[in-house]
Amino acid sequence: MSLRPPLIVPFAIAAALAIAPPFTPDSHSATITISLEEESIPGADLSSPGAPAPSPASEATPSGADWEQLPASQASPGAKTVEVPAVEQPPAARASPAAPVAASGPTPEPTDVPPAMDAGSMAAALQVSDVSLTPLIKSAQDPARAVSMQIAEQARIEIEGGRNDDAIRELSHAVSIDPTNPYVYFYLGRGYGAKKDFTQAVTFFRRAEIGLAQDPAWLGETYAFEGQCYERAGQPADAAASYRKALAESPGNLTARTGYTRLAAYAPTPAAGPSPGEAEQPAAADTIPAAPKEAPPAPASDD
Amino acid sequence: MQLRRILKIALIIMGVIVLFASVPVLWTFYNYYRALDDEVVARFSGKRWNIPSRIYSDSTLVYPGQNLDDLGVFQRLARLNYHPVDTGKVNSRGEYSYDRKTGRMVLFLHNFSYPYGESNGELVELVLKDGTIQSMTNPQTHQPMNSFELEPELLSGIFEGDWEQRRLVSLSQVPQLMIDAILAAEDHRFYDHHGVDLVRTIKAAWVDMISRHVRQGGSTLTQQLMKNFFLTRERSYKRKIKEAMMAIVAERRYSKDEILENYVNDIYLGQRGQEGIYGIWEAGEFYFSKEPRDLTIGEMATIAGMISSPNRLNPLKHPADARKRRNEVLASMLQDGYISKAAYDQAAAEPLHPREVFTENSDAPYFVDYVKKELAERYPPQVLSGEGLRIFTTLDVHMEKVAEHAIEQNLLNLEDRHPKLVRREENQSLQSCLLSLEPQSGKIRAMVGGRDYRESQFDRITQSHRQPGSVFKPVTYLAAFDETLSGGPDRFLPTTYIEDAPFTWQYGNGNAMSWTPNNYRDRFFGHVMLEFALAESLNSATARLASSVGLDRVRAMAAKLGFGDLPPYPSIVLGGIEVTPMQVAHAYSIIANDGMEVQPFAVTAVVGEDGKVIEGHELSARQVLSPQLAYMMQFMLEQVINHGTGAGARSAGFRRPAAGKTGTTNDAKDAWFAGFTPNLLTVVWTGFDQKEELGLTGAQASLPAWTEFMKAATASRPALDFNVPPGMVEERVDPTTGYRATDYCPDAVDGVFPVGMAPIEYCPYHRSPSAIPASDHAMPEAPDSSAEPND
Repeated sequence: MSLRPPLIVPFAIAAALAIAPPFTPDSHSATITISLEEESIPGADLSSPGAPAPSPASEATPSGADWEQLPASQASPGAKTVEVPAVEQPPAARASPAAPVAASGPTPEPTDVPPAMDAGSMAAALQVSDVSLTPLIKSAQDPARAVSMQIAEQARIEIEGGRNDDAIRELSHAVSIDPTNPYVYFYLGRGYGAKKDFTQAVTFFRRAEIGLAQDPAWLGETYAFEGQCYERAGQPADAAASYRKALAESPGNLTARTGYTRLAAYAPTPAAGPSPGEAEQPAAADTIPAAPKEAPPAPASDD
Repeated sequence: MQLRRILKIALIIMGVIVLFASVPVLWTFYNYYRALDDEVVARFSGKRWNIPSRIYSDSTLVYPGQNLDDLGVFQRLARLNYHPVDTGKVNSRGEYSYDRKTGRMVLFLHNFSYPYGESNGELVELVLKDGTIQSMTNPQTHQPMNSFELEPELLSGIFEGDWEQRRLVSLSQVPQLMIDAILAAEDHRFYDHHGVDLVRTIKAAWVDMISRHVRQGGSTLTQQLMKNFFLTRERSYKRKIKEAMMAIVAERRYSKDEILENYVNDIYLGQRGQEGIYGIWEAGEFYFSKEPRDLTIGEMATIAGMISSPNRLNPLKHPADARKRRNEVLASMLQDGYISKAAYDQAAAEPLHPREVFTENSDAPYFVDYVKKELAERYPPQVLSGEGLRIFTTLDVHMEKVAEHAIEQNLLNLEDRHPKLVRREENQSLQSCLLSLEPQSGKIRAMVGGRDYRESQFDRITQSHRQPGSVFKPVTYLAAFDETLSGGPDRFLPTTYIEDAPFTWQYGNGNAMSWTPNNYRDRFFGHVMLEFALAESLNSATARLASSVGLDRVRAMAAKLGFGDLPPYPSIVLGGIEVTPMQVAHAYSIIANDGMEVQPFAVTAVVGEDGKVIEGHELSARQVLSPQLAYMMQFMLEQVINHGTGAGARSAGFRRPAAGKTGTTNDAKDAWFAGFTPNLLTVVWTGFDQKEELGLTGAQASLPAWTEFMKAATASRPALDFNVPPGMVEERVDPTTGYRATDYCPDAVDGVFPVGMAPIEYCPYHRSPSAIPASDHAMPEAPDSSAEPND
């Protein structure tokens, strides 16, 4: 079952490449909006045109040119061959307990935050979570999932209209109907994020991640919004780490891209210190029991 | 002359006497009148009625794929006063038809005012196959429907004295024909008199005199209203005079419309169990599932006809009497010129259908008490009993019924099988309680606080502090796995080995104190995996693990799970503390909810009389354990049900993915079972309030009730499996060697591992079908849990 609305892919690619092709999508043209609201974070200079200025962290960040040169096939959410940012495979990074929301290590003072991106060149900032969930409703195998997806769709529209409380309330019914539906948790995260309750938002985004592991576009979207919550909560290092995870999953994710560009200076490089995700990762190499017969510890034995 | 003079003087004297005497009489009368006037004004201008609050259950969402029987739809419809009619005859709200042969069901939903919006009762057509909904459409628009909501059920009211339920209407909301019907039935000359109808009063007095009793009611509407407002039901001339005077006062002070408006809201119109139906809104709603404006002339006449004798003329119970009376009223209406002959004929031909009325209001008395207690912390009593709040809760009445039945039946079975458990003394009988909630939403779905509410209102879910016994064991295992996942020096996995042998824990200053837990029936299993130790609830192995992890870590984990700051005694690891079933449910819900804590709750919304939401519940959560840690524990607890002490659930036919834990205290005074499917968690406790020995394990005493409940309660829910969070892998392991199992390992067990921690090498002993016999290095065999559950 493909959980990704196929029509979204071209938009995501277009946004990712920021090449502003003069396309006129047929069925979705009415829903395309430039979602500047999501990017209206203090410090982000959306109006300054031109390519991102080089920054001290530019080695670890994708330059505008790199992104523009990405062939479409590579930028598609299915392909995870993006060379930057250099992160470990997320499944391993998620193998251990969730990092506390409030935790953020000592953050380096940014010497120069690069301009986010060229807003003028953005044709459409359409994200997977901003378009109708109807394809997902239609493809739902389980009736309970379909009903809870309908509620999620309704909540999505409510969040779009700023009716966050209504959305959160209805989503809690959806949780009751199908507690495993990750999209419901995702929109709970968005609802709380819009209400500026970032702790709750991140909690629900993290819950959504569990169920979205098989869907890179949505997983990337979830990380991106998580990053946005961290950023707004004043935790730029966590935010940068989340954006980076988002880009690893879904290189076309615009929120993550602009966010990461903006916060690259905060992103801890592997040499500088482990990111929260990396810190959680169990030291896989030395934990594989080579000879299980000896390896299983018998810690409780008192002899 | 003389005589005339004397007479004249006498007359003058008499006149003077009368004059002087009448002044105080008139004065007294004037004062009495003033007092009555004050009383009437005070009543009319003040708050006229105390409107009780109503407590509702949750609504029921119905959607394709659900089975109507599993969902208890027909019982729900009956409790909600829906009534079945023949196919094709569904014409008004509250009616449904179901043709089992064609599988076609048509349902006309009631209107309902939800906290956040009105629901205009729709017509729904369902196509069913073997009771399972295949599709749903709106037969009027032919549009397919995805779901519909069956309105919440009324659980109880909050009131003082008698439960007088009414919903106030303004006169403009009352159809003129309703007023006409009331006037025709009760007071023809309402607009012609000034409070008292002398013609009728004299006639009534004449009847009374002949019969030498006060029999005839000659009261006008105004008099009836005064009687209800101020006076008792006593029938005496004195009261009648006061009533008449008050009626005159009221008519002088207030308009006919004001009096009518009060009247239509005030009248008593029957009884639904404990709840009294007052006012025409409630009556229309209860008897005909309609708002006043939607009532037919026949229905209006029926209600108007009931005023004189609401219970004898109840159209649902006594349709023949009600029909006779209705037609009398209709005849009066015709005679008084309110309706035409044609309208009369039509209304008089309307059939009245008797139907069963469900009168159980306090469906979930322990739950209702719990809700009332919670509300009492936020609202003063006079608001709760007088302001007409509507309180919406999380309870599912069908699940509650299933739970009540499971608990009652299980206790009867236990007493039947173990006569020593039977107690004849009052308040001494064997008790049990059940709490069921959704871990992800926190909704409390069923709450049975004891065996019989009439016998004992003590709520064992929240008020009974008992030892959890082995139900507490997962805390130790969680502390151990947490150590692994957070990169601690020791590594514990479900497949880690531990010694199950007699063990003494030295503790205190200089290890001066010691504690030696015993295994159930002193049986020890030697070298076992942790998953086996928990599945079989081995005390020694668990204590040894706890000592290895460290008591502080176990206590810290207990605090995370909501058990508070426990004393630093080793015995706590085997549940040597006191907790409530609510606490156990809360702790297990964190495990069931992938490590996320959602507080269990009962009240979803409180709505004021004006329809505005005063408070609404908002889902919030806190990540207490990592999803990976929670998953490891879910896996461990699944083993308990699949082949450990909870295997009785499987042999009793419960097939869904489920996890749980038995609990029995050392002296067998408490028997627990706490367990969950991915979307429903239930805790059952069984024991004596007086803490006498029960002599049964959790598997014997509580698991049967848990299983019966869960089988029925989960039937209508989607069948889900537990989430495997990222970073966890499953692997089969040879339990004797710890190697990755080959296809030929005879006793291979499941294991879950953080990525990178699963064994890679295949078991060298079972590389082919003719490998070394398993008996050479066999695992200890689990005891037969059905015969003699270990705990």
